[in-house]
Amino acid sequence: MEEDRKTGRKDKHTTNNTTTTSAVDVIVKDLMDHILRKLPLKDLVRFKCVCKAWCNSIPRIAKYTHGPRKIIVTPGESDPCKSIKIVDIEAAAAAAFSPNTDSDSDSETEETVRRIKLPQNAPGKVVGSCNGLLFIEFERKRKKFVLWNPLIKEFKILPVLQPSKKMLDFSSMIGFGHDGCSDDYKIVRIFAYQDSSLEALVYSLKTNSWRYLELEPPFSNNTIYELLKYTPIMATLVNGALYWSVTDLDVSHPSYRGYCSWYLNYFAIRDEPKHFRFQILQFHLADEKLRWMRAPLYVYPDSILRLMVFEGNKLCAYQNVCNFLIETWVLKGDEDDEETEEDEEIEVDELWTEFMSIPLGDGRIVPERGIAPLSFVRDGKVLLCKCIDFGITSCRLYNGVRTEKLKKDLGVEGWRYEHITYEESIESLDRYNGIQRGIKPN
Amino acid sequence: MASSTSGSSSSSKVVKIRSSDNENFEVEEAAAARSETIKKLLEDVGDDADVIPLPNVDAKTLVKVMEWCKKHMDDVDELNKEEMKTWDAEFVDMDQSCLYNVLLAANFLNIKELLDQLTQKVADMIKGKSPEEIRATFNIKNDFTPEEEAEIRKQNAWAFE
Repeated sequence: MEEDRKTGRKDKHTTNNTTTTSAVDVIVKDLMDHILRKLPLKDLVRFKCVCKAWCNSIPRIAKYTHGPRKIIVTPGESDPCKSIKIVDIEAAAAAAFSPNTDSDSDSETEETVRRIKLPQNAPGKVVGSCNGLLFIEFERKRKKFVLWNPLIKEFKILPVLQPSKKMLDFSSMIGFGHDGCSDDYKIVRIFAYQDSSLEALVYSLKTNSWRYLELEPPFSNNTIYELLKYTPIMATLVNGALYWSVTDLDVSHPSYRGYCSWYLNYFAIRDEPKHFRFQILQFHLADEKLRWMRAPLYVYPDSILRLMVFEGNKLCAYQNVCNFLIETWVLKGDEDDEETEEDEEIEVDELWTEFMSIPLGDGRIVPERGIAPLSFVRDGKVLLCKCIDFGITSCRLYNGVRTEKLKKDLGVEGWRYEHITYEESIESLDRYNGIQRGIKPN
Repeated sequence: MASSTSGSSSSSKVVKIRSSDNENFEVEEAAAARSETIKKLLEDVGDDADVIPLPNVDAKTLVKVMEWCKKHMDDVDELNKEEMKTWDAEFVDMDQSCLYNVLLAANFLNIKELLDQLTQKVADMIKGKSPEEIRATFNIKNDFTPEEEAEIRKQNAWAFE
């Protein structure tokens, strides 16, 4: 009785093949699905013309197959941002540790690092990614936004819209994601103005139009404007919501030394005391509501709070504490509220759980500058990068206990906070409106 | 993480299994229990089990599968992980017909981890191949008309570059 359940013979009649022979017969259909699910998307789509049965089942398989998680970095000076680099982090990290470096790692490097030209052959920057689509910002002065699926080589230029008030020469906060409720892709831009007001713009791919949203400023004494002027913030996409960590300088704090010098301090890391305030801005793509959330309670006031994603579905906030360690917090999910209630009695309304502390400085108690997390890797490991003079120079892996140097360079370059995580998909912009096909392959 | 074996962990208990071609094997229970199918059967029949018949697996294949189960009997610690990976890689490196037989056996015996390794192996084998090569490998008949096939190729041109 057991055997009938598992062998899955039932699908034999699916094709009207008269000459099904050994191998096809042997590898029953559910096993074949199992195998196909492990193929890269490009192979999968190519195999659609193997036979009718495959052609029918592959779109379903492809929908649930996600390529390995990758990060995208914008390379530095060598090629002025007209191309991007896609690095398969899992494979690269694994290859960097494999004991026999000569056997298969050479062939793997080509697969793990790919460089692709941006559509339109213009300098641009990837500012968001979702379901295999990349959201790119072109040109610094007159902004142009493009959605692009680099795998299937489709792109769409989005309509331009300026903010209603006086246009300011900076990018503000920006985010891109998919709204599962209305099956729509949305882009959100939030502008902060000198008069402390905030303004949000939302673009919907379905309607191909922009609209405005009201927004309350998070701080009474608003200096986010000054900060945003120099550091545009890309959103972190988790579970259908976009998050930005918004920082300003607490001007009421005694350490505040006057308006002009603070951002200079911020950039030219001088060891003067700073006192930042933090808020997390959340935008739900489905209900299009903007909400302010509290940052972790025990956050350090003198170092910028940033966001990343843990295990694909948890928002993680992190801070570099004096170059000694990277402190991380994870936003509590709604579902495990009861579990954590007991041991969190004192901080009843704390939204965040303390997560891991990543020591820097390679085991010695010395600070090490320029380290930033790039991404979480399998088994809770963290890929870190070392950044010197605005560029990533090397990577290392934190394994939960200590930091290990990688044997091989991962090929990651660019600025440390400008990377994006990406998963290949065959999502087509075709089903919405007009796309342009066929950028020249490089 | 993989240790889901039941409470009775008397280390050297042996179970008897019989292949489709009526060969009997004695295997440590802990190894045999890597197969969810065998584990369930053992639970059902209890201690008075004589021989467990496996009508879908021949002796040659069963030897292979049990070789894997024995190796994967205990949880691997961090140190042996690399060694195990190498062993696994060598294990799945077998000729095609053997590979398919073991794949089927792993499916029938419900050994998830082995199934995973084997399907990955097959996937690696067919990666990067052309549709024609796939048809040859799996002996699949092309049931498209030339026009139909051309149309699919045109629609998915990016995948053929």
